[in-house]
Amino acid sequence: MFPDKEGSLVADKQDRQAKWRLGEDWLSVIIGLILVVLVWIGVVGRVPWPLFGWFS
Amino acid sequence: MIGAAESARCRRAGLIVGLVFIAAMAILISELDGGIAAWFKGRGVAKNPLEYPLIAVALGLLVNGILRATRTHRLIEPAIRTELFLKIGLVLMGARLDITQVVTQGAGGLIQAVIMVTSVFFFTWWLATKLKVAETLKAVMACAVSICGVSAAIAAAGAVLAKKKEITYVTALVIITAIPLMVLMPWIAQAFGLPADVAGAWFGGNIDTTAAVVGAGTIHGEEAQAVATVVKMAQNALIGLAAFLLATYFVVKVERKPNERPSASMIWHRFPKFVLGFVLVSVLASFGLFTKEMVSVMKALSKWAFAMAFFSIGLELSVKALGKMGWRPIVVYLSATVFNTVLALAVAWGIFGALGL
Repeated sequence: MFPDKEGSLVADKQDRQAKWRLGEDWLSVIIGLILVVLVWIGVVGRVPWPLFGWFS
Repeated sequence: MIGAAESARCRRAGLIVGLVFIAAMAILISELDGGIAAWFKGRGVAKNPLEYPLIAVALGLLVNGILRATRTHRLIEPAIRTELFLKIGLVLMGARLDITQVVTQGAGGLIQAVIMVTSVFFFTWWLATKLKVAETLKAVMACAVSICGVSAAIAAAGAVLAKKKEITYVTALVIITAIPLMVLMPWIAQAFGLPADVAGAWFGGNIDTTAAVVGAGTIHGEEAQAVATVVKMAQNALIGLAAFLLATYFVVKVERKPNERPSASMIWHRFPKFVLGFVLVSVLASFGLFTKEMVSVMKALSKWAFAMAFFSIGLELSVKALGKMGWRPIVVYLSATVFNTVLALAVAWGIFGALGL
């Protein structure tokens, strides 16, 4: 690693922030796919989901 | 002094309270959207000029002001996840786009992205060098304005080890320029009668942050929204490569440590994985796995996620961060944005208008 101008604490914080961002990226895929599966089950199983009325 | 466990508990509580609050605001936005559309319709205006992205950002800015004035903004900060909400919405949006459309527009978007990213990046780099902006801030700004705003700024900051205050500063600049562009560009595109695909490619090629690109597309119409999103995703896909090249440049040229070259695996590490989710859902839709009703429900859900993302854009803006760096970086960023706007229109017109991709 090349040196950080404000000390290793800042580098650590940035590293954690970057890792969280990367994790968040996968999290969005997981949540998105879970929602797709739920919609599939909901529509096939005729589950009444009143929330879906909004915005549609 | 607050202990680590106490601090983690506070963040968890803030996350839950904040998520409930943002979801409640999304309900309010949906009700306002319906009410305003009905009001315009009653007066003979078929298309609502105040689409929900506008209402969401305006409400976000208003609530932001109130929360900061009452010093309660920090309470819900852990829940302000603009990119998470946006990416969930984008994964769901894949259900209404055929994969052939994604591939065709994605190819055009990738050509446009390569032209735009290299031109805007080097223009920003050149101007920032002329105005003697710090090396790390220059790298973060050039990536943010040429690729995809906040995500690119964070990827670049990780690659060049920029200071935390530089990321905060560039984030504020990204949001401050993105909000007016999100409102003005669809209006200009409509005033000049740009075709929907050219308008979408223009939004995708110019506006820095993906949330505002989706917002501008939504304000213009469904076709523009789809093109803008796909074009922006092609641009997003270049983050990994840009971060890797920047890290290599900084190690070799700035830090002068050629033996510590970063690994090429950084390209994959920084690749925006939500694009994979979007493509997967689009492939499933192309195989006819979803009925019309499912697509309509997923569209409604993605609209929910987008409303939460647009509201969060307004909520996360911090004008205070801008006062810390002086006028030079602001001049660089605004000049780069103007350059980006003009060039993106020409390139979008060439690729999506003249070549008809």
